[in-house]
Amino acid sequence: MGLQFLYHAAVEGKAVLFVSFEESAAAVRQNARTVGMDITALEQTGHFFAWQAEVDHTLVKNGEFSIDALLAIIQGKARQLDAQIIMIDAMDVLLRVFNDKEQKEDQLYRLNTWLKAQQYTCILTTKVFPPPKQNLGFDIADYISDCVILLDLRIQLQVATRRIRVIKYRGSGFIPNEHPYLINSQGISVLPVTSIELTAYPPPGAFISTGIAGLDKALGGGYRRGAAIVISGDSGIGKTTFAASFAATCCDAGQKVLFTSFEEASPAIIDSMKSPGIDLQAAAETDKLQFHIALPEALGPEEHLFGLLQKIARFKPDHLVVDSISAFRRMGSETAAFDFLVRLIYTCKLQKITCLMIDQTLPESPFATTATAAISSICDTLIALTFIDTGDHIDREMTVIKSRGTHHSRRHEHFHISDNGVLFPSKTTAKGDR
Amino acid sequence: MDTPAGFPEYRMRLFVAGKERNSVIARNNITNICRTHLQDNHALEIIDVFENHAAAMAENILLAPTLVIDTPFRETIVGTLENERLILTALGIR
Repeated sequence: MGLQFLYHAAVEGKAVLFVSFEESAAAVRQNARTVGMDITALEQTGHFFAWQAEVDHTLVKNGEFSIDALLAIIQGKARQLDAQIIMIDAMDVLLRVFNDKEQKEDQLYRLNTWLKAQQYTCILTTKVFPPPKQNLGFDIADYISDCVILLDLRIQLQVATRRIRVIKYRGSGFIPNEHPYLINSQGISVLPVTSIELTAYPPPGAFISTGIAGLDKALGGGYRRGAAIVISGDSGIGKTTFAASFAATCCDAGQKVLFTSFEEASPAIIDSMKSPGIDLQAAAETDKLQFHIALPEALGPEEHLFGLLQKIARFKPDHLVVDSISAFRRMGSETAAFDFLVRLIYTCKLQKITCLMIDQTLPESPFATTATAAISSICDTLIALTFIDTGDHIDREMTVIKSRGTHHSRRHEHFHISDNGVLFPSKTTAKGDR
Repeated sequence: MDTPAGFPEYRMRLFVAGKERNSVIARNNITNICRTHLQDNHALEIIDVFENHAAAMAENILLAPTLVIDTPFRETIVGTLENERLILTALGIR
């Protein structure tokens, strides 16, 4: 994280100095390259200088001493480079040579006073002690620094998540919450969930066809553009068919649909939709329809979200289908799944992308799973699909639980899946008002 | 130094941080030890890290004061050098 800050400063033409107590300059270069930063070029232009300070732990101690020589090196080198930005990586390694806590703190205090006098911007990294003592290990560091950021890697249900938290930042209205972050080939990305302002959302737009005539009618005109929609139901009831009908209709109308599946590969989806008469092949060939396939367990929720957001940014879809959100909990905990969904929905709303989500219900909670329950308040339309046992056969029923800004049906509507998609027979078969 | 090999027997360098208190004490201590125990048979170089940071960098001198004994045995000692016996032991005198 510090390296990324330094790198960007150097790219902007500022000279920076990187002092590491853990890694050689070659290792720093290598690490930077894996996250997409080329330091070698900056070193050649004199904007970046990396130096490994090796601490001799065999030295003999005889009386008092201080880190002044390190300060002299930093000052000398910084003057040579005309650098104002300095990073000291793994300072705790050097402080190990000081016997007690007071001496360690004295050195940090000395460093701080000196940095301020020289007017350098300095990033200091140090390890933290495991909970419950989760401060920097040196109380003084917490209060002499202008800004303290805590990074944390934790494992939840076998999925690793990185979290960042700003502990303090003088003169800034910072957000004190924890935010997930991830490290990939583009460096570090922080994904704050709590910084989103609700007022920024545009209201849902015009009616658009669901691709199913009966559903358009039941919804009082169809889905609203840019809305967040959840279709929940048992396995095999036709949720994907509903979503595919929508996708095919939108693509026919020349709009772009991104179909995200955490369950099936794209050829399998296209193939299985042929039986209810929905042709996704044509749309896929014209590139109006693109697939984003990922295995939930393969990555942590942050990587999944980031991958999906990148895909959205590149493809710029009008509509997004997510099949299914019940798979999200397999990326980690329920909380992680919820975070993912909230951020995805908000992103779609901001970009006016219709977000149609499929949720697999469990037998004991026929209308919604925990995933849907958690996000129901931020969803515009909720549709439940249920099997009804009539005694001699099984019927399918659809209920619009809610649909904001529409005069939607409050009936249990019968439907069946034919060779021509989802069909709603005439009103006589409906079972009455709820 | 234009002297025969092996002379002076004791070669050392003291890295100091300008006029910083510990550095001044260390400088006085080592000068006294040299005068009392080593007489002419030594070469002591004083390096101010604030004037020559490159020398400190080259040898990874991060702490000040630091005494680097080059001969007869390589040894690094940090601090004000209060303990004379420890220095003499490091030099192989005691």
